[in-house]
Amino acid sequence: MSKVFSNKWLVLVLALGVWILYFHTMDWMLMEAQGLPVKMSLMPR
Amino acid sequence: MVFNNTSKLLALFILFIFILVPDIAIAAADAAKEAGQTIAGAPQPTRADYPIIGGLNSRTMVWGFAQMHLFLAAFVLAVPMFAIAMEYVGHLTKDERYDAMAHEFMKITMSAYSLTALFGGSLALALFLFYPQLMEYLMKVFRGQFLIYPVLFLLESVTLYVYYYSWNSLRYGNRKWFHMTIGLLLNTVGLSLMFIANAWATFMMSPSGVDPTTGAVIGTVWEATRNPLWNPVNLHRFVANIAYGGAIVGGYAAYMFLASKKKDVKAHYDWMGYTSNFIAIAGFLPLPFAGYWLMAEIYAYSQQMGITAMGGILAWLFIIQAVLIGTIMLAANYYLWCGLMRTDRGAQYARYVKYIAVVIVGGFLVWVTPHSLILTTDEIRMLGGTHHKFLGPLGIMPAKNTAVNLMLVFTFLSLQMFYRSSRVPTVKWAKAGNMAIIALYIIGCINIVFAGLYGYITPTVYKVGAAVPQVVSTLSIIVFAATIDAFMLRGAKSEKVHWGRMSERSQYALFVLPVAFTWLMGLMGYIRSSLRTHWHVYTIMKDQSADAYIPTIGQAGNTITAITLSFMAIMVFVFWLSRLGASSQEKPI
Repeated sequence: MSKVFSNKWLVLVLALGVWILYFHTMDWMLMEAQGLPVKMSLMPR
Repeated sequence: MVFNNTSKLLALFILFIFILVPDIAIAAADAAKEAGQTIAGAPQPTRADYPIIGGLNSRTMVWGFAQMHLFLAAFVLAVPMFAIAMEYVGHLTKDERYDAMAHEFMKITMSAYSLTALFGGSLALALFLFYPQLMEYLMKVFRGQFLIYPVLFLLESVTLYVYYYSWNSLRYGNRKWFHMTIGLLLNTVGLSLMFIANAWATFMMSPSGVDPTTGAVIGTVWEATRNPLWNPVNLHRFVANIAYGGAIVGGYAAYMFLASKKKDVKAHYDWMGYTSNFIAIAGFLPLPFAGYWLMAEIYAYSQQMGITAMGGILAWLFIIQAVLIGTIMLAANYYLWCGLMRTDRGAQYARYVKYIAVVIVGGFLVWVTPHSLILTTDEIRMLGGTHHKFLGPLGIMPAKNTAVNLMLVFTFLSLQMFYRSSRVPTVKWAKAGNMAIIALYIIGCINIVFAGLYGYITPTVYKVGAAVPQVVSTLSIIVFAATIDAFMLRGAKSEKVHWGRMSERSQYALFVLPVAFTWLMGLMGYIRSSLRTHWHVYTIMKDQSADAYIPTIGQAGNTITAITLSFMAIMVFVFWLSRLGASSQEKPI
């Protein structure tokens, strides 16, 4: 475990993953809490 | 040390006041309700009912007095809040510098206090003189609360004087706690005063506790107090006051820094300037979110009122607001960047400054881009429409929200860099911690940009909805980065900070802050008040006076500027007084 933390680039990749998960979940929950249908695609066709 | 009898009595008195104040408020409201006291409705004065006194413009006079009172009151209420926090830090860390600085902050407040009362009294007189019907109606709505206000004002004066003058006699041990209790009471009374005054101002915008058609009083004082906009304004003013107070005392520190010749005095005022700037930024970072909540509540209460603000006649003033907030951010960041030269390690961070500057300036430019332009027919033809094809999208809220959130994130980064410049982490996982913070900034900023793009391409309801994840992203970056830093810098090796090793031009950034803040408060105060348009009390009591009109942008701008300049002149006088009080003439030989 300590070897993983000693490699700063590996930590960077892991941290990027963790933060992506955090912000994605946060976005999802906040939009849903406002009653907005998050699953619906709103992108212009 | 055991408290003596006088201390116990004073503590009991403080407790008594704490219990008494809410009781008076409730009793005043209930007594009126039990007596079945109602009024026929709000008065509907005609133009002839408004007194005309010597051709004076009632609107401009009340505007000037109200704004000057508010500037001074914001300052006088804010300083004791961070003075007590600093006193507490000084007591915990046993570092007397904090205590001395808190005392000096209070010294400036004392000079400004009587002026606050003077303008408050002038405002009350002007209101009763020029708008007697409105004041009569407000007194019927708020009844006993109009008596509580002067009682609180008296308590504010007593606690302020006791807090300031007992500083040296209640300095150590248990006596210090007693002194801080007085400070706490002073802040409680001060905030109560502000909350009451806010209730009157917000009742005029979003009346409650009265009949919506006639204005007849049908509810309690509490119902009128707790109107839809009361708490949003309470929060916004509370946070803004902290930022404003920090900016003003920062201006004082800069004034003293530039005026001092001695190295140790310069070092003291440099430290004071740094602390003040830190307080101003700490108060400023959450301020846009409090403002956003206030605007959302205004829209929720009355869409028409919201549109008047942001899409109608007052909308252009929000562009000026953007310019002023951009100025504040640039000045605050510039001061922090200059501060990097205080430590020998600071230079290694200087190379990142240009990237932060690009984001701050870029965000500033996006923010000042208007959506609707005032164009001639030829210009519309040349442009190919009323909106520019590339710059047009930058005029709407998703782009502006993205810009302001990124500006806040990068302002925090400047603060973090300065904090780091005097500390070398000693924990083994320092590199890993740094990587976690870098990743946090990258993903957080990408999330802010994507939420902005999402908001742009989706319908309005999603535009508003997408602003919430942007705000939470910004707050997440600040909270997580500060938390990781706090753990990482535990037991860190401290680098010597050369206080006073600052360029003189950096001090002018500290002067820019209070000027821009004062102008901004004047501007936004005008917008908030003007949202009522031709109503004294929105949709209930019409303003029929000759001066009831929306001024042109130019006239509003000139009036706000004149008030700002008057306030700054008063502040320079207050600074000069404080300096004069600290100097003494040498005995002639």
